Amino acid sequence: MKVDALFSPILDLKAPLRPEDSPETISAWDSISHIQLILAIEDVIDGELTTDEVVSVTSVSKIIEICRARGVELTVE
Amino acid sequence: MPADSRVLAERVFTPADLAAFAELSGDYNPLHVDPVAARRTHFGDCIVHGVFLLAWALESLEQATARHTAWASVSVRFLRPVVVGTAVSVGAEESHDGRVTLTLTASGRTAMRCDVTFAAAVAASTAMVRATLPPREPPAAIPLESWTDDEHRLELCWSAPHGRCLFPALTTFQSDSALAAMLATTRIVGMKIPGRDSVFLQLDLMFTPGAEADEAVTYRLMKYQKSTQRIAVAVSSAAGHGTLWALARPAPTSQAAMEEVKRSVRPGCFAGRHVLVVGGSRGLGELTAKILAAGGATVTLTYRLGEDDAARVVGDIRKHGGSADAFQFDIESDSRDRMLSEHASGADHVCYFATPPILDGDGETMSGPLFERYARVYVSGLIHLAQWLAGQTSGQFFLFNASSVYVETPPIRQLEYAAAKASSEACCRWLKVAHPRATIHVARLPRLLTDQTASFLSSNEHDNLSTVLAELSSWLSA
Repeated sequence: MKVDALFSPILDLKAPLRPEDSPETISAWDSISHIQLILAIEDVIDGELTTDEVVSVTSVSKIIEICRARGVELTVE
Repeated sequence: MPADSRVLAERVFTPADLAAFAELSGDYNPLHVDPVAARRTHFGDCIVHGVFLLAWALESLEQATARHTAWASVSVRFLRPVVVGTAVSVGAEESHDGRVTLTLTASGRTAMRCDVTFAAAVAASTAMVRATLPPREPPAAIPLESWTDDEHRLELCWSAPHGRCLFPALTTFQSDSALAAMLATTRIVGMKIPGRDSVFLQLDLMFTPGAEADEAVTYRLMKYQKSTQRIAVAVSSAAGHGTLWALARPAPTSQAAMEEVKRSVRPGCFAGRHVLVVGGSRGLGELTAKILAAGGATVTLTYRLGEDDAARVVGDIRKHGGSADAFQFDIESDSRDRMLSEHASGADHVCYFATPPILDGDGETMSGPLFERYARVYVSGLIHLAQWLAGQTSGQFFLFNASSVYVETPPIRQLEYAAAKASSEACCRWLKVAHPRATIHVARLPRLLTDQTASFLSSNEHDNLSTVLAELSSWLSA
C-alpha cells in the first residue's frame, strides 16, 4: 500500500511523502492530524497500536517500520 | 478539496449559528458556545460542532441534488477544527457505486471528509421522536478511567420547527428519528463522554430506513486508549447504529499557585515596584504576576475576557499577603488610554503578555492577515504601551516583553507568529535607543506549558516557574 494513499486525506498532501517527513516538515501534521494518523494506521494494521508504538510515530519512516512489524508493507513513491 | 469535486455551498458559521445548533442538538459544550471558556482550550476560540458541519454538508448536498432519499450510512472524519467566523466550503464527488464523498474545506485545508450512501427507498418523515428540545445541562467531566462498558441511555429529542430552520431540506426527506440519532452523537461526545474536555474525531453510522420511532439512543464505551486519551463508543437506536471515536483533550493548564511560588521567590526582592502585567489573568502573565507579588511588588494585572480568571489570580495573591488588583483592558481598544489612566496610573513597570489566539498558518505561505493580527498586539500594542509608560515616568521606566525562541527557529506552522515576535524585538531595540533611561528586557522564552501551547501529545521540557523567575530577576537586577 502506498503511504500517500493512506495519509493524503489527512495531511492534504501536495507532494509525495518522503521517509524523512515528520511534523517538522509537513505543515498539516499537527497534533489533531497526528491522532487521525494513528487512527488510520490502526485501520490499516487492523489492530491497536501499543503505547510505545504511539510514542514512536514521529516520522514517515517510523510509521513504515511500525506497519512492517505488524505485517503491513507501506511504500513511498 | 479534490480537483474533480463540485463545490456545493459556502458559508461562515457565526456564534448565533452555533447557539442555534446547540439548542437543537443539546450539545452546549463550552468549546462551541462560550468564548471565554473556549479561549482556554487548545483551539483558542469557539469551534463549530463537527456534527453541525456534517449536517450542513448533507443539507447542502440535498439542496444541490434534490436526491430525496434516506441515508443508508454516513462515515465522517473530523480532520481539523473550524473556528467560528471562518469561511468554509463543501464539495461533493460521486463514485460509480452511488457513494458520495463530501469534503469540507476551511482556510485552504480539509476540515471534514464524509462518505454517505443512500437507501433504495425514498424517505419520509414518519418515525417521530419526542417532540422537544434536549435539556440544557452542564457537560459531564468524568475521567475516562472511571467509565465502564455499561450501557447508557440518552433520550432522543427533536424539535421540528428548530430543525426546519437549520436544515430545511434534510427535514423534508430524512426521518426525524434519523436526524435525532445523528445529532445525539454530538450530545454524547460533548456532554457525556468524554464530555466537557472532548474532541469528536470520527463517526460511522448505519441507518435503518423506515424504522419505528424510538425514545432513546443507547451508548456504551467500547475502547479506551490511555496513551492517546482516545475512546470508541458504540451507539444504537431504532434509526441506526454505529461507532464514534473521540478524544479527551487536555483540561485548561494551571500555573503554580502562590503557595508554591512563594517558596521559590526571595521575600522583598521586588519590593517598592508597581508593575502592570498586561495579560495577567492566565498563562505566563498569571505566573509573572504571582512571582512579582511574592517578591513584594504591587501588581496590577489586566484581562481581556477572563474576569473570573483574573479574580482567581488576584484572590490567590491577596490570600498570601500580596498586593494585587485587576481591570478589564484591551490593547486594541479605543478606550485603552483612559483605562490605563484610571487603573494603572501609578505603575512604572510593565510586563507585556498580551496575545491573540496563537493559530497555525498553512506552513507553505506567509499569511499577511495572520501576521498583521499578531503584529497589532505584539508590535503596535507594545509601542503604544511603552509610549504611555514613557509619558508617565519621564522616560525612566521598566518594560518586559515576552518573546519566544521561535524567533530563532520558527516552527513550520507558526511562521507568522515568529515573524511578529521578531518585529516586537526590533521595536524593543528601537525603544532602548529612544528611551536610554528605560530598562527594557526581551525574554526569549522557550515553549512553556500554557493554554496556547498545550498539545494533545507533546510533553513539556521546561519548568515555567524557574524559567520566568530567572527572566524577571535578570530584568530587575539590571
